[in-house]
Amino acid sequence: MLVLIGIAIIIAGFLLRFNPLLVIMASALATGLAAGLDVTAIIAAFGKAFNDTRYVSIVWIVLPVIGLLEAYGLQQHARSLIGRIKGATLARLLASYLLLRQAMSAVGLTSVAGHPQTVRPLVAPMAEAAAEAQGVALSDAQRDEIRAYAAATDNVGLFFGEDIFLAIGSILLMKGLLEGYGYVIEPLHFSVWAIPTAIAAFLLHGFRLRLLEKRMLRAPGQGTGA
Amino acid sequence: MITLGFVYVLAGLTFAIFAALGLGDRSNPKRFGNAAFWGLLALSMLAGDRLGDFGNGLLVLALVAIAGTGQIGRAPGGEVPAGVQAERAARYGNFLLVVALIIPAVALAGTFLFKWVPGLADPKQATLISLGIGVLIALAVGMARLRPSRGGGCSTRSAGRRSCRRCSPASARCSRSPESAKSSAT
Repeated sequence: MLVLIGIAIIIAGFLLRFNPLLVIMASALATGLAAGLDVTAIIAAFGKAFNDTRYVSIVWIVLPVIGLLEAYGLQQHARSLIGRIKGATLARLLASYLLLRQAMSAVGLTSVAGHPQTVRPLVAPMAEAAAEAQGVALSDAQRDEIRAYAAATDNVGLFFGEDIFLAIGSILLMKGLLEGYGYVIEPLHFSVWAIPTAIAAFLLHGFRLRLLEKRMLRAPGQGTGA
Repeated sequence: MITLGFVYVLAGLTFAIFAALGLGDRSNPKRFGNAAFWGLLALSMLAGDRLGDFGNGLLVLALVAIAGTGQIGRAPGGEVPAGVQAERAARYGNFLLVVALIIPAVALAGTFLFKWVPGLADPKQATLISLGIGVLIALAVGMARLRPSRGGGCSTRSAGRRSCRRCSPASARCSRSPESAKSSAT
């Protein structure tokens, strides 16, 4: 049971709002120690996992392009573009992005969009502009909230889209685990049954986006909205 | 055939440049943290398979220590003024959007191309390889038209700051690294 101490550390660390990176590292260390691994083995396990998945950091090569474009006003342009589209509301815009992200991930195109390459330069400024076009005079805190929702929408779309794609690590993991318990399940079945979950995630997050929009419009001192 | 190894080298060299430029930015109090973080990440990309599990583990601990204790950050006031950005947006508007969309478009097209035409690139890593190619194309197109020069590109920035070196790629890079690190880690 002691190996479950990692979970307690994660919960406590997040509740106390410590730096998530440090919390996760502390939790992993504690779990390894509780399981009887020595420190060297734990560090080696970190190293192997990190090196095997370091491709996730490749996406940062887009930063010079994004930096160049932002210095030349890409965010402003994305804003003015949305301001000109009639009927572009905060909730609709983010829900469209959610759908697009889920659909792309479902066919395996997980790295096409993401926080560095689409959310920060395009989706977040567009979402802010859509709220402003609805008559909301955004405070700094509201801006931050919209940006956070734009980033979260990307997460939800990716997470509840990629499981529909066959050749993804999580499906192979589930298959292997269930096989260990004597259930032999075709990967295709995982894919098919990820679809209702994906639809539910779209509806739920879409609903949250509506709530966000309503909250923004109802905030004190705001206009009537669209 | 293009493999993921090529993309690792591209990323490693890019991050090494981030580290060198970050180190050279004397106006940034966190320049050593920035340089160490990107330098270690460059090392991981270029030589990760030769460091061994324990070596990589120490590298992870160092990255977490640097990022977790807030040693990464950008210099204050490094952004291009909003007025200048708006002026440039009015001038270059849709061109910027096209360059931004080159990256996902090439990633998408390349993914299909490399799967249909065998032998060009490792089909298992088609999207990441295409992403790398997309970045190179977008950067080339953007630089060719916008031509940010050390003086010209950022001429309107406040006096005394080391101008364009930080203004184009680096300003976005520094402001984003800690957040990106967290979101990628989850």
